[in-house]
Amino acid sequence: MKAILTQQLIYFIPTLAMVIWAGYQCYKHGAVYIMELFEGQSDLAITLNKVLLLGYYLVNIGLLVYTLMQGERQEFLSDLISQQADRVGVVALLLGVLHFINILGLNLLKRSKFLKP
Amino acid sequence: MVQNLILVGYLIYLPIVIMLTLLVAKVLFKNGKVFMLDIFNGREEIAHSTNRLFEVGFYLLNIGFALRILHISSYRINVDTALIDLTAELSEKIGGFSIYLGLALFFNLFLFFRGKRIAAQKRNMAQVART
Repeated sequence: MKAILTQQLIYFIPTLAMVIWAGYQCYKHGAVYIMELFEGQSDLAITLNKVLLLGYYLVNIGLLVYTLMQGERQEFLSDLISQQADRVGVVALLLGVLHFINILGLNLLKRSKFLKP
Repeated sequence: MVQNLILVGYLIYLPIVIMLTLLVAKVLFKNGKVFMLDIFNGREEIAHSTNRLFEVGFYLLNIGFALRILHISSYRINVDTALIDLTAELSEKIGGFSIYLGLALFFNLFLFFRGKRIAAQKRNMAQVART
């Protein structure tokens, strides 16, 4: 039996917070890197950063909502916590891996002269 | 009855694990600032930003790992020795996670030193090229 929404909220609230936080940190602190890639075109860099953040939110929050009602209904609170914690853990791990892939990608891009005029 | 005990186990495990992660992250990235400033030749903004980005990734990976290993199966808790079994399970999980955090700390330290060495090499080569 599918879990009811109040049970899924234990999963949704931490993961939503994580996605928003991670995205905003990347937006705020990745700005330096994007500025370096687009030297002299700072308005392009700022716009690109905002667009990337928007795309990130769309995809990630969309995925969260898409998988929102997936868990089974649990009768014990301990099982509920265990199940939802596992789902939150998966999201956290995936976010972390993607985060580091982003950083690596940015560094490779910086080195590859792909964006040089 | 066992389920209640497992719930208590989770309520003990979660704060300890989260506090451990926060503590290690705080220490690691407070001291990482020095390494970053060295690697980026004193450019404070990019050093601070890189440090912060690594910190975010560190938190995500470690909290994710801690949550994934949270689950305590009721099959491992016998009703007559329940508290003993719970303590054994918790010590396994918390201890194992602590060891993992220590290894992650050492790995990050290794990366910091490696970055410092590569930056020093680049500086040397730039100096040689100039002379």
